[in-house]
Amino acid sequence: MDMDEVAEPDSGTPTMAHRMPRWVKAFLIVGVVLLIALVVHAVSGRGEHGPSRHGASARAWEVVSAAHTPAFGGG
Amino acid sequence: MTLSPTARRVTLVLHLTVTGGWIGGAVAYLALGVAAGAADEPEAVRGMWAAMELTGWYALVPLAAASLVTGIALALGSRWGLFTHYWVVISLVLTSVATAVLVLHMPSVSDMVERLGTMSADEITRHGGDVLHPALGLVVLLVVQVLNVFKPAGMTSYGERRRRRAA
Repeated sequence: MDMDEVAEPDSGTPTMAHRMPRWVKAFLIVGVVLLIALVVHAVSGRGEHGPSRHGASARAWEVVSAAHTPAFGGG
Repeated sequence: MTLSPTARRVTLVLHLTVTGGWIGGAVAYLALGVAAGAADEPEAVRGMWAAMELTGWYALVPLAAASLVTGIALALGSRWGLFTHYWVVISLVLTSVATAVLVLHMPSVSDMVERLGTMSADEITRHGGDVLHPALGLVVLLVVQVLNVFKPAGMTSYGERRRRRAA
């Protein structure tokens, strides 16, 4: 085999693969973790104070709470 | 598209001014939100929520929109580009998300102010303030500031392709 043939890079493929910097990877991981934590917090209904408990979201929460309240105060 | 040096400086001054104003407005909103949560007097809580509504609609929303627009103009008009470097892309995404959350959040603040007018004194004092949104917003804005000042290295694959083509 001709040595030049081996040394020449294949023109059909990129000479250098794209590498995402480590700080970007860390940033994305932290962002995803925080996003999941926020979604869990919102779904678990612990955002009980402030605007999360008023407006449309509060009314929806009141409907959900009323549906789960025992009718005769048992429990 | 590259801005002339004068146009770039003018846009930079505008961007720094409105972004600083946005951060200052968020700090003021957070102070009102904390105070509304700690207040015992219903009238004080009503007043603070009314101030938060005014601050939000007439300061935070316009400043956030202006910060987003001037930031995009600066990126497009400079060598950094909008999608060429990771730090610019992340800044753009964070600023867009913060602006969107703010605009989506403000109608519920207005709704709250309206409802406070019909609530009993006990209900008003139990309702509390608004701390989570401005606190998270401030964290996001500070992260964007750090990225914009330090400009950490790293080109997107699109940026690398463009650089290779230009070389």
